[in-house]
Amino acid sequence: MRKGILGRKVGMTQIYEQDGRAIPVTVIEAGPCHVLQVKTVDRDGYAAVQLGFADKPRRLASRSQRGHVAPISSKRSDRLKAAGVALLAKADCEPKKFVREFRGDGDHQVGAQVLVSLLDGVKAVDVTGTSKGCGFSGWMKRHNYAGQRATHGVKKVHRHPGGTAAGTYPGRVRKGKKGAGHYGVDRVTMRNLKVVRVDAEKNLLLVKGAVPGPAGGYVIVQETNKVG
Amino acid sequence: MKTSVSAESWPYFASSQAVRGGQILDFPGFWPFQCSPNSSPWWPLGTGPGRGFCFVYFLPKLPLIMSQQILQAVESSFLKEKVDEFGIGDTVDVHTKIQEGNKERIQIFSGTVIARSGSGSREMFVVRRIVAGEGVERKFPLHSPRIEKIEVKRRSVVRRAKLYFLRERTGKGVRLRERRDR
Repeated sequence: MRKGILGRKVGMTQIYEQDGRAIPVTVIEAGPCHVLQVKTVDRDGYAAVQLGFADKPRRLASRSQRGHVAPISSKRSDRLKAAGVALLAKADCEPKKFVREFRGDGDHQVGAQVLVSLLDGVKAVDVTGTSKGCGFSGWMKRHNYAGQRATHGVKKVHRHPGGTAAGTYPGRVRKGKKGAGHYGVDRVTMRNLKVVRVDAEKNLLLVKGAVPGPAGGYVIVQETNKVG
Repeated sequence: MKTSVSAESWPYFASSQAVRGGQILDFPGFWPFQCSPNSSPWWPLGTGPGRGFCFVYFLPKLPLIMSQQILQAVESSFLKEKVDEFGIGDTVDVHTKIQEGNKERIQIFSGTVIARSGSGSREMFVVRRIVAGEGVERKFPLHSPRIEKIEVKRRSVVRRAKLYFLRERTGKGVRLRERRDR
């Protein structure tokens, strides 16, 4: 199983190496996460570890969210208890705002804490986040089309795509043609970001380069699976 | 700034001050915990509509306030402990370390500081000089370990933060009036 942790993008800044080179870094507040659930092939059909990050106030959490992290008395649990069925272990922590699974077998125990020190010694990570929303965007922003010239007789079509299909044949625009439309708010993964520093004391992770999403956005950090 | 809101009664103010030391502080009793139960969390104690002046009407979300503090704390370990003081318009000698093979030597670039920009570890400054009749500008990162020191040779009276107007001037026009107050 790849090492993984959940976190929050804090923002970007710049730090200096000893030789004076400036490195652009993204600061990620990674962990502490709780292990909320360990899924097994026997019971769930696949193996995974479910982590939760950032406490959610109990008054905002639904009953099912509260019941997911801590034992909660219900008709069903009372019935099961009466029948002598062993209930699943709970993490016994606060409800979490950001809950994600990591596939694979791990030696995680429910209720254990996952700290950023897990990534000590990891050279590079993949960071998954939700990209910034750009609303309804044109071709140029959304698909990096070049647009047309500013001058030389170009009228009113400076940011237009140009032709979208041939003439009489096929006589229509092919399916899948790129176009203007909603852009952003996608799940985006930046792979193979170099780990610059792991600050176990402050739960901070510094990676080189940019990470998808706005500052304050939640991210999934995993050891990279990129070879070489 | 209204003085009736003391730092103690306004935790946000207190903590933002403490961060100037470059440390992340806990939020001892951050909103709304330290507010009186009747007051809205967005209003500092003793202020609010009809209860006097309030100079902050909206606070960003807690994670974003924290973000700034965390970033400052990260940067603080890369800042120089003491940055040589200089101002816009000063004539300075910038001592930079240059790597030549295995040897390291100091190169001096002297000229007029025409701009400073950025904050924290990203702060930069621009030095302009005239070399053989041609204007040369060099932009330095203020906190770079390559910058050995910045020596102020002459101070000037300037009334702008950016002296880009010097780019259009040549000869006697680039002179700035000297400041003799210190």
